[in-house]
Amino acid sequence: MAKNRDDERIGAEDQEARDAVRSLPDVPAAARFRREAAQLFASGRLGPVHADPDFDVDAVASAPPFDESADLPGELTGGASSSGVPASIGVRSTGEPASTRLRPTVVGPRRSWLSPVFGTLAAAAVILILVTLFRPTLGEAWEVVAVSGSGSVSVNDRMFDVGDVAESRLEPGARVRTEGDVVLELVHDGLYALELGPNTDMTLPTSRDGRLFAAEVRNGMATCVTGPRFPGSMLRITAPDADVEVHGTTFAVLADAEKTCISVLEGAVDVRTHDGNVCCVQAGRCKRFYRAPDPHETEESLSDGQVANLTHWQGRSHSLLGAQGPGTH
Amino acid sequence: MALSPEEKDQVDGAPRGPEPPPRNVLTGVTRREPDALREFFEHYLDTVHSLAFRLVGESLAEDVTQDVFFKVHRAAHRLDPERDPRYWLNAITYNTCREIWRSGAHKLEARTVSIQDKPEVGARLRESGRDPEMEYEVSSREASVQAAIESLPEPLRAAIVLHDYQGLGHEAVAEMTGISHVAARKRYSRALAELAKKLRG
Repeated sequence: MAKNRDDERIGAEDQEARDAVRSLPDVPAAARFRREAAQLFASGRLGPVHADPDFDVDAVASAPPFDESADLPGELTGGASSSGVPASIGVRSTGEPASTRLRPTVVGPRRSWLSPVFGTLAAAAVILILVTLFRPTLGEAWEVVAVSGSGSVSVNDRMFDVGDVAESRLEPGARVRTEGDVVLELVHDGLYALELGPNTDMTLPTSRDGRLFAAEVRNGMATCVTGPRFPGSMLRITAPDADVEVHGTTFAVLADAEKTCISVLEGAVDVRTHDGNVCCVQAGRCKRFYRAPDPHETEESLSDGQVANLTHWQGRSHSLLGAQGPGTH
Repeated sequence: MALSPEEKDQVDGAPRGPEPPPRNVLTGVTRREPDALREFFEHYLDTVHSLAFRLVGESLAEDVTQDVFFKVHRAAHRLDPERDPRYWLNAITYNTCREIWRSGAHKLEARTVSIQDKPEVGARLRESGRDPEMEYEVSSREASVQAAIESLPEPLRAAIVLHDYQGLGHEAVAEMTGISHVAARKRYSRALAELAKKLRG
């Protein structure tokens, strides 16, 4: 039997658990967070992530290290309650926008109907209802399940460090550009998985009716595997030289400065070139559509490297889509 | 006369984290001087981040840390430079985590990430100079302990993290969590037993 910090007698197994917790190391903050947050904190521009209407300076000041007799400074009196303390910290009272946060605000708890936060939430709810009623369905969000490489990712023309994009959700229809050697892996509600290669510029698939999905690859390489919920749906990808229509397969669309290349591992892909010709690319084939000054088409078998890459992504996608499960998000 | 948390914890030693910075820094914080704020932030960032990590996990640790320092800035003018800020920071961090638990935000972002995939862990392992196989076992053990902690109900998780990880005495934990000293001790014992069971299982 051993004694803990308060002289309680504990058994061997409990002691082992206690020692395991006590020996856990510090977890330093990431360098990027340290750098950015330090700057914002020192300049007074660090905003909250989770709006917290219950927080007030008095409650904090009642903790031991603080002088409880001190008054609040003038710049903190916005939204003051009858006791003279701010009623809400969800909105900055210094007159600055609450946009200087490192991470987006997550919806916080609401406790007072008179809180200024209520107005914001009510307005957001009305907008949400209107959007739901009058805007076509865009589908569930894409989930970024893995990232690799170093560099930046642009989402709807806003730049993010690749680390910030990891495990985030991206809206259907978002324009995503990978820079440097960044590779993104995304899954969409059991429908399909996408891999965006380095220097890829793509509009993520979006749907107006939940069945016909449209996307665009402007540059780079997007590899797609359809998932268990895909049958009955169709994905159309617009590339610089052709539109690709997919009904359930594993394929890749590559667009570079001189051509669009469609590589199909499984199933078949209907391709409509922008001059109106229609063709079908079968499994195991790779079709290239070259543009001016020498527009022409070529078709050949997939190379061993292409097969290996597509097979690798197919296996990876099945595990991602399987882990996520049909109908879940 | 009631004991301050610092005095209550004398028997246990100081809580985790560095000793307070020089008094002129704390005084500067009360005036919101940028240099003092920056030094205060650097001084306590890892302490706050570590506690947040243990309480809410990796996916929300940075969010909590950001919220804590936002609140610190709001209340900086009330800092007493004579006292140890660690207790105050611990309280704000715990309360911020509790707000997140209440809001359910953590359920939206709950996700576990293999500690093997984290570059900072890799860097720490490289720096330690230990045998890679042993390092693998150590980091795996850390990950399993953290996973076991995160699987505990939130009150039990807080009890064990605040007492054993953060080094606060039961009196201080009771005050922070708003329960009696006796209840805090009972909750801790239950948490320890639950954790031991999960680590065995």
